[in-house]
Amino acid sequence: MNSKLQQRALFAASVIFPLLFQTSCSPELSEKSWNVDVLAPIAWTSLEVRDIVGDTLVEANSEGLLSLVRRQQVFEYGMDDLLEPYSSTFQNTAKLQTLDLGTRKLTQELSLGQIASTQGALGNFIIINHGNSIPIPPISSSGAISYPVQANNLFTSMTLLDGWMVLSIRNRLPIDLVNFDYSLVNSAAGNTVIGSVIPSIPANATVKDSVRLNNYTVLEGSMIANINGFSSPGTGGVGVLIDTTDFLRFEVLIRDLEPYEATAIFPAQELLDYTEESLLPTDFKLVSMVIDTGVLYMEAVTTVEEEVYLDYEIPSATLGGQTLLLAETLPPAPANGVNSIVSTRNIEGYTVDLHGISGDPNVFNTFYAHLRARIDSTGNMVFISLEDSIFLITGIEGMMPSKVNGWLGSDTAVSDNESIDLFLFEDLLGGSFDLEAARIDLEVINPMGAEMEFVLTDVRARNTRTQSTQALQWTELGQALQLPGASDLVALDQSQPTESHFLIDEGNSNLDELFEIQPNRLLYDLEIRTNPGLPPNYSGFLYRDQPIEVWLNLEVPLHLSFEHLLLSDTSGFNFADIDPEERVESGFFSMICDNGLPFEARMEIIALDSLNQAIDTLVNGGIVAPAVLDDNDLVNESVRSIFEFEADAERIAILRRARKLVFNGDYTTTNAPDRLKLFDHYATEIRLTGEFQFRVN
Amino acid sequence: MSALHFKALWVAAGFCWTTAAFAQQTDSLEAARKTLNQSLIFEVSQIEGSRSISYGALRDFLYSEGLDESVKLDLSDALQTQNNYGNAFEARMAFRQWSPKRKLGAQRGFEFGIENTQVFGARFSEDAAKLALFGNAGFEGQTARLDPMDYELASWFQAYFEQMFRTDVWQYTVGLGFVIGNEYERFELDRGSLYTAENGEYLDVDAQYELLKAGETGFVKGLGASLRASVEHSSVKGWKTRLGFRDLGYVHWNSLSTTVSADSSFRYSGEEFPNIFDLRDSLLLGTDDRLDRSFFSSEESAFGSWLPFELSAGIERDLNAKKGLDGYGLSVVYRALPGMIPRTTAFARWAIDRWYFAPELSYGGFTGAGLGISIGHRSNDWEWQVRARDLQGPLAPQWGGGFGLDARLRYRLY
Repeated sequence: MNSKLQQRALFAASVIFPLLFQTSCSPELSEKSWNVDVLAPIAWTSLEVRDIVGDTLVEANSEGLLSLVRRQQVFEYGMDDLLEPYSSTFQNTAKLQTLDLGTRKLTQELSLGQIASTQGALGNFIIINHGNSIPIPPISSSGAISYPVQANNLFTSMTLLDGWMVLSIRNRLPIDLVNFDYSLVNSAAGNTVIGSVIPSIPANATVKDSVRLNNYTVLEGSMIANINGFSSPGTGGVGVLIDTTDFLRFEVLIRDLEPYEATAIFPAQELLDYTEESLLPTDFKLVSMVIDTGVLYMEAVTTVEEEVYLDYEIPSATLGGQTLLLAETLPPAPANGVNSIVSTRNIEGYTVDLHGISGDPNVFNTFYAHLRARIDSTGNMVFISLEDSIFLITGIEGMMPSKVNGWLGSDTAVSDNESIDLFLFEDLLGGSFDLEAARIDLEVINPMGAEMEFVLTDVRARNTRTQSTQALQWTELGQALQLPGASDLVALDQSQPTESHFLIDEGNSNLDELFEIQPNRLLYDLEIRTNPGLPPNYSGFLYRDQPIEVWLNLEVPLHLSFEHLLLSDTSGFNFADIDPEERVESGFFSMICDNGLPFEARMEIIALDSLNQAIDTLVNGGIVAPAVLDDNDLVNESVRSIFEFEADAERIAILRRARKLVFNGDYTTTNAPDRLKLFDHYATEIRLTGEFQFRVN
Repeated sequence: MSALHFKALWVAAGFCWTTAAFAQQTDSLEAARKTLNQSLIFEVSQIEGSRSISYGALRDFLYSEGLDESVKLDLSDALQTQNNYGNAFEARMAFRQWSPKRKLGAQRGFEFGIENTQVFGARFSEDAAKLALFGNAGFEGQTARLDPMDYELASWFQAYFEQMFRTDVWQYTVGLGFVIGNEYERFELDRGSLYTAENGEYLDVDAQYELLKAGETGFVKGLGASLRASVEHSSVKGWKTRLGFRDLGYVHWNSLSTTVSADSSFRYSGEEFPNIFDLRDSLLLGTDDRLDRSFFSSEESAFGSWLPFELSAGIERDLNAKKGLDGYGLSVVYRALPGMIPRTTAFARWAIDRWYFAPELSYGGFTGAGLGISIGHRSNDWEWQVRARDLQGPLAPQWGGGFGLDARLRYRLY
């Protein structure tokens, strides 16, 4: 192929070749957008009576007759009403009452050779006759001898309030010593600690001298012993074997020391040992308790330059065989400074014996705490003064038992004008109804290990909206309702409560009149009596999490009539949930109601924005016609009602801002005031359909 | 200007430019075919149309920027009980060589080339189209019949090799292609209806369908192979008959592909909400979930599919005239796509020296009856041809059902 042809072929290829990689020749419908008219069901529901009044409020009997039921707690009385959290603080300042320095002993020997070397010619004569037997002539007056006495390995200095120094001199020289003049002086201060003249110290004999070290006597660890002079009768011309290793032995014993301060190696010693009882402030006579909440705490400040070991213990509190102990080590204080710690311990779960230190079974509500402080011998030379102190704050904070055992007392608690909200007709905004019957089961649960009596003295129902009040007339008002004591299930750590039921119905009260005012508040006066007229019984108990409870179990059979009963319900609403991609542009919505309920409903549906401001009314006064009844006043046939509303683009925009829908209903039973029975199978089928412009893509 | 018009003009302009550069001395087509030993072939074609919908309505619907009500109404008015639409784009570049010597009485040759083929065919009911265009509000209290409805979209790139043999009377070709699948989607609705109750209280949906869709992985979504073959007989009086097929192949689409199927009847009454006083639940989203469970049960896995192959047959008489009637013939082409029927074309060709033109009448394919024309030029080294099909589409859009444009260039290298 020639080059011209190659160029032409290449040129042709460059034009045609890209066509080979055209991606698609089909039009992309997915990129187009157009509107379609969609007619479709959106949602449906079956609306029953229980939906109107609240699902949990309605029950059906075996015949399907509905009853409005409600269980509401109206009273509670337990340990938190009877006991206050217990807190107690103890402050201890442990100044060192004594310092134990132990008994210190120093031994020093002075050989004949050392003595002779200080005695001139006679001394030299004695030294050169070492090993010979020679007579020693009388010595009229010796020269002075001084030598150091070191106790620095035991103490550097000490200032003593009291104590004794005992000096023992043992003469192992071959001659008697007379008028032995000695002294012991502090090497730094130069003052004499002890000194005297001993008239005679026979050969091979020991003599003692002592001095009391009181009135802040200062003793230094570095001292100088002085032998100021002595004389001797000699051997009387009798030769004796000269041995220059013969010696005088000085033993200095320092004992019964009561130092004011010292820089010394201190032995282990107790600094503080303190025990105190605490009494729980209660009218109960408790023998034990299990702690639910509470903290044991300790704060300590020290100026002692040694580690101080602190133990704060409640010996009568145990958990798993271990007593309650808060043990801490207080670090040494710096010189001329302080150190401190704060420590706490959760005491939940501890069982506390409340018979006090003595354990006497006639002692109640009492426990005790034991505080100790001590130091160990560390072998370190430290300065401690009786001016040093350990300041301690110990205590218990917020202690509440989970259970107490013992006599729970014999008392009467009175509550007047107790008031609680009733949640029976809170959605009712108006209208009236007439009941065939109503009843309340008053249920009282007693989990206390004590006999109780419960007395209702006055009960009123109030409608705060209409300001109407109706008093209960009941045959049991003012009567003592007996509540037997509970059983203690110790293994399960809970009470087996007793339940007592007292019926209030149309036979023994005017209960229906109370309900017909649609009360939202209940007011009552009551008394609770513990162990009424009973002798002490220490097997009683009380669990904190099981209070006495009083419940109202309400049952209103829906055999009734009502007129213009106004119910309102508010539901969260977000149009984006229905149309997340905002493809609905406008529409015509229909709500189709096939009413199988025997009452007429006038409906209003209002849209609220995020500020709860009404922004649109979707249904305004539409009437849902009641179902058709047969001769027995039972629903025979449902009746259809249709509500339509148009939502143009502007209205859709408004709906997109809606965050809540308010459903207001005005309900009236067919043939009111004749009463009807509402059955479980009665329902209204509601379908929401829409014909709306929907944007494709 | 619409995308289709732009594409057609671009193809035509490129073709004219190319042919102008190569214009040299001329000869008859047959003479050139006998003497060319090596040649390059370039072909491109585009066609779309519908037998039921006018080209004007179709063009407005497919290529207008937005779909306003008038476009929808025009299209709706054009709908018949059963409708179809299809389009096809093909581009090919090939090298062909004939051996100058004969062995065992036959001359041998080969051809290899690359092709890009993109086809789409669909058939659908009038109700289905109206449902898509206007929604179901117009069917209140009525049943919209959606079946039969199916469509197939296939796009593939192919490199092929073809072996050729010819004697004085017969010519055979047989070839094998390596296929890279670019796109595939096939939907078959065997049974489908939608009943919209009064006031839209409920919808009754009944459907049995299957949707296969190749996975989204870029250019290569599947691999496969295809066969092609043809046989041609020439008589002494210039009659030639030809029979052949191509793109008879199979593609294995990757594991990210999706199969969706359903065989279900379903009454939809809206999403149930247990309490009218609590509308926080997403109603339509819940509806989507429910419909998904009933009608869009999908499975992601690999699948295989046959390529929409093409069958062709033709008879032609070549008069080898330098002026006047040069030839005439009849051809039938069919590609296995939904809504496509065999396209039968009758033509006559007149020659004026090196130029020739050939008017044609056709019926079938994506469209119905159609009028077309080819114009070409031949020489020893090259031959080009431009062919417009279904000219009634652009010329009389109110009733024409489509439009197609082909361009072909063959150039002798040696």
